[in-house]
Amino acid sequence: MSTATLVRDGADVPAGSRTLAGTTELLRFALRRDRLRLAIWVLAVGVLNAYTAAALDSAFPTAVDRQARAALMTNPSAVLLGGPNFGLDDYTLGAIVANEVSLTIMIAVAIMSILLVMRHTRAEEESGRAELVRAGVVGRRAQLTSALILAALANVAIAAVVAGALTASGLAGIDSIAFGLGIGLTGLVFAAVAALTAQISEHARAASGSALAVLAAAALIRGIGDIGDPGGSLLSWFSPIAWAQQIRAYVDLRWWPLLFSVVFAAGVAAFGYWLADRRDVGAGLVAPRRGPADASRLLSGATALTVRLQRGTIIGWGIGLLLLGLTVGSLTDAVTDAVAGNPQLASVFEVGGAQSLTDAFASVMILYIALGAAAFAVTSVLRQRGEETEGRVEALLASALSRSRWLGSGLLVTLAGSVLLLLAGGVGMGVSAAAVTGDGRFVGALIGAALAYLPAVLVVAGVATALVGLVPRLSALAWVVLGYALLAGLLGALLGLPDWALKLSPFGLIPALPAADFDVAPLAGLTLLAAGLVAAGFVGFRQRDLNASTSGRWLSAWLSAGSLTAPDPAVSSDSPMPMDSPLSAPSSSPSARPVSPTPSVSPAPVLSGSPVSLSPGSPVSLMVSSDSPVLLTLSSGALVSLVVSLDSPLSVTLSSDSPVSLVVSSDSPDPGTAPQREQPRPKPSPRPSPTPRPTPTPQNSAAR
Amino acid sequence: MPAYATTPAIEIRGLSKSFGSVTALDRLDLTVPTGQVAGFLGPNGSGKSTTIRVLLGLLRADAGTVRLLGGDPWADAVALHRRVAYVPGDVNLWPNLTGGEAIDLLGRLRGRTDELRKAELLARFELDPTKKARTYSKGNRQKVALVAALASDVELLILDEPTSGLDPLMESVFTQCIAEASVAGRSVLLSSHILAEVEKLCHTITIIRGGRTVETGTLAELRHLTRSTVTAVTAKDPSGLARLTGVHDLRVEGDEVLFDVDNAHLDAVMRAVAELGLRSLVSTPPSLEDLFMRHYGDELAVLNGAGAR
Repeated sequence: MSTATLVRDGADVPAGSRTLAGTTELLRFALRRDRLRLAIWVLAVGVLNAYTAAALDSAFPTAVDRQARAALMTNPSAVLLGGPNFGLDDYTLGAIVANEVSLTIMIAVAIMSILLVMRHTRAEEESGRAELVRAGVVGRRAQLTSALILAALANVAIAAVVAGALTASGLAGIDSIAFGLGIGLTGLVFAAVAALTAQISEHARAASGSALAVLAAAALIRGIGDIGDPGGSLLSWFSPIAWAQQIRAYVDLRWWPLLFSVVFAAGVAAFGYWLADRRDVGAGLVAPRRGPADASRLLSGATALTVRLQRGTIIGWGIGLLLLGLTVGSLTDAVTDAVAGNPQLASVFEVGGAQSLTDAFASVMILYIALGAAAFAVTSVLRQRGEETEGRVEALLASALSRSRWLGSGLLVTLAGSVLLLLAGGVGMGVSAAAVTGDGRFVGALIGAALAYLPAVLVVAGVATALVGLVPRLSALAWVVLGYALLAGLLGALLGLPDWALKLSPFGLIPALPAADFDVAPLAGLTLLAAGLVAAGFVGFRQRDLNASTSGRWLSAWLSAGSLTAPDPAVSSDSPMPMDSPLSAPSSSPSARPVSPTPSVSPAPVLSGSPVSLSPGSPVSLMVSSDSPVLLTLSSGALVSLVVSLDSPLSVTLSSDSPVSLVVSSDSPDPGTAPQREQPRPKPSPRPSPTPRPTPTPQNSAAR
Repeated sequence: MPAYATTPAIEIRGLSKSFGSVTALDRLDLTVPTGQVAGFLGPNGSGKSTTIRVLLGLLRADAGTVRLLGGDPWADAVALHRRVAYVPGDVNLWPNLTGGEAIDLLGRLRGRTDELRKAELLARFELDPTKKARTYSKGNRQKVALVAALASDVELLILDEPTSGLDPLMESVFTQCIAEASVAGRSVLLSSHILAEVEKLCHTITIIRGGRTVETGTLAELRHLTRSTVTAVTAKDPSGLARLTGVHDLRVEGDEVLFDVDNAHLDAVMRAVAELGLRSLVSTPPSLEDLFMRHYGDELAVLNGAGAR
C-alpha cells in the first residue's frame, strides 16, 4: 500500500468509523423492510397500554375498590405476575398500572427487541445474505450497530406512545415519562442481550432461544425476589426487569434505578461487539463438529425426521417448564403463610369458591405452563410450514411420502411434544409442591390439572394447522390465538373482561383444576374442535400448491412472459412465441410446429474403417468414394458435417476442442422414418459414453 | 410386459399453470420416451422448474394432461415417486443433519437404497458424508442430492439444473453417471443451461419459452430447421451461388467462398457447389448454442438495445 493511500485513508476517515461504514444505509433499509412490523408492534403495545389504563379506571372506580384489589396483591402468584407492590397503602390508578401492567408490557417489548435484533444480525448471516451486504462498502460493525439502533428507535417510539397514552388517561406526566422510559430501557437491555447471544450461536433460532431464556430467568428472579418482601429483596435487583419497576412510578418516583439498565445494556452490547470482532462472518463460537456418515436406523421416515428436527426445541421447552414448575411449586408454602397473615385475602378466595388458596394459586400457575406448551405447539406446526417455504419439503414429497403423512408426522410430534411439556410442568410443580407442603396429593392433582389443558393446546395447534393448509400465507396468525389466550389469562380478571370474552380463549373453557371442579364436556368439545380444524388443514394442504418462495418465480415468469419482448415491433408481441426468426426454415410457421425434414442417416456407411478419430485443430484428409451424397457427422458436439459427392480428398477442420470421431453415412432420403413431432426417434449416432448405448427394449427394462 | 415399456416416461400435453394473474405455463408440451435422456431448455423463468414441480405433484395443473410413468402425478404421487428420483437446482438441506444422514433419509423415504452404490457414488463425487449440511458449499449440497438420487433404483430421473455449482471435474463425473443410467435403461429429464452437457447426453431436446414449447426433436432434427455455415474453395467463380434459394450472406474472401445455407436446401446448393469444381469444403451445422440463441436472440437484441440506450 502506498503512503499516499495511507495518508488519505487516515485523513478522510477516522479509524473507528470505518468499521461502521454503511450503518445509516443499513438502518434505512431495515426501517423500510420492517416498517409494517415496527408499526404493528408499537401500536399494539401502545393501544394495549391505553386500553388497560382505561379499563382499570372503570373496573376500580373508587378508592375502596382499589384497596380491595390491593389486598389481593400480596398473594405470591400476584407478585410473580405483577410487581413489587409499591403504594399498596394508597393504591391509585397509577400504582395499579405500575404494579400490575408493567411486567406484561416489558415482556412484550423485550420479545420484540430480541426478535428485531436477531432478524437483522444472525438471521441475515445464517441465510447468507450478510455476505452479500458485507461485500459492499459496509464496515464490520455496521450490521450489529444498525440493528441496535433500529431496536433503540422502536423502543423510543414505544416509550413515547406509552408515556403519551398514560398521560392522556389523566396520570401524572413526569411519572408517565419515567414509566415509558423504564419500558423502553428494558427493551434496550434485551436488545443488547440478543446482540450478545447472536454472536454465540450459529443459528438465529438458538440465539433467540438463549436470549428468551435470559428474559424468562429475569422475570422469574424478579418474581421470587419480590415474594415475601414488599418493595423487593436484594435478589430482585439482579433482574433487569426489577430496575424499571424500582423507579416507583406514580408512588414515590426515583430515576436512578434506570442507570442500572443503561449501564447493563451498554456493557452487554460492548461484550457483544467484542465477540463479534473476534469471529468470522457466519461462524459461531463453537466450531461445527463432524457427524455420522450414515443415518442411524432410527432416522427413517417422516416422523423420525420431524422428531430429529424438533427434539432440541422440545428438550429446551421441557427443561424450561420443568424448572418453572419446580420453582412455582416451591412457592405453595409461601401462599399458605400469606393467608395466615392476611384474613381478608383468605376471605376473598373463600368467596371465589376455591377450596383453598393454594389450589387457586396452583390453578393459575398451571395455566401458564399450559400456555407455554401451546406456544411450543404453534412453533412446532409453523416449523413444518417453514420446512415448506425453505424448500426442504420438496425433496421429501418427491419421494414416496404422501402429503398427509408428512403433515401428520409433524402433528404427531406436536401432540407428543405438547403432552411431554404439560407433563414436565405438572410433574415439576406437583413434586415440589408436595415436597414443601408434605401433602402428596399435589403430585397427581397437578399432573392431572396440567394434562386437562391438552385439548386447549390442541385447538391452538389445530388453528395453526388449518391456516397452514388453507391460507398458508397467513400461518403466523396462529400466534394471535395464543396472544389472545395469554391476554385473557394474564390480564382478563384484572381488566374485568366479560365472561364470554374469557371463554373465547380455549384456555378459558378448561376447568381451572385443581381449584375448580372437573367437567369432561368442555374437554371433549375442544378435542372435537381441534380434530375438525386439523381435518380442514389436511384437506386444504392436500389440495393446494406447494408454494416455496413462489413470489420470485412469479416475478421472473412475469418478466419473461412479455414485458421484455414487447418493445421490438419486429417481434410479434401479441404472440408470446416469436419462434420463427426470419432465418429459420421457411416451411415452419408460428402456429404449426416445424416438422423435421428427412432424417439424416440410414444404416449404410460407405467409408471403411469408420469412425475416424480426429484431434482438435489438425485437419484430416479423407477419401470418399460414393455415387450418392454422403453425410459426415461428428459424434460428440457434432460441430462439423460435410455433404459431398465427388472422388476427391476432403479437408475437415475441427472446431470443437475435444477429440471426436467421424462417422460417414449415406444421405439418401428415407421418408419412411420421418420422425413424429411428439415421439422423436433416438439419436442414432454413437456417443462418447463409456459403453455403447443399446436401444432400450422391453427386455432390458424388464430385467431390472 | 410392463406398461412403461411402451408408454412414454413423461407425457405432457397442453399444460397450463398460472399463479394469480401470472401465466407460468401456457399449453406446454413435453415428451420423454422411456429409456431416453431428454434435454429441457429455456431461459430463466421460462417455466422449466414449474413444469418439473407439476410433474412431481407439488403444483396442481390448471389445464392439460400430464402423465408421469403412465400415472397421474397429482393423484398417484406417492406410488409414482417410488419410481422417480429428483434433484432440485437449489438444494436445501437440514442444517443439523450430516450429508450422509440426508442421503440415507431420502433413500429410505423412497423405499430402497443401495449401500454399495451410495459408497461408490460418494467416492466418485468426492463427498465427505460426515459434515453437517450447513457447512457444505453449494456444490457439495448439490452432490448430496445427486448421490441420493443416483443411488436409488428408479426408472426416471428428474434433474433440474443438477450441475449448478459443480466444478468441471464433477460435471464430467455427473455426465458419466447419467450416461450409465441411460445405458441401464433409465429415463432422464435433464433441465440444464449447460448446452454442451445437453448436446453430449440428450437424445431429444425440448426448448421452451414463456411457458410454451417452441422446439422439440433430436438435435439432428433441430439442426435441419436452421442453417449451416459453408466455407468452400472452388475452381470456378462462386458468386453465382448467391442467387440460389436458401443461400444467404455470400461473400468471397480470396479464393474462399463463405455463405449460410438453409438446411432444407443444402442438397441442391451442394450439388451446385460441386459443379463449380470443389477443392475443399467445410460445412458447420449450428451448435445447440446457435439454436438456442436463434430462439432467444430477439430477446437478447432487445436487452442489448436497452443496455445501449
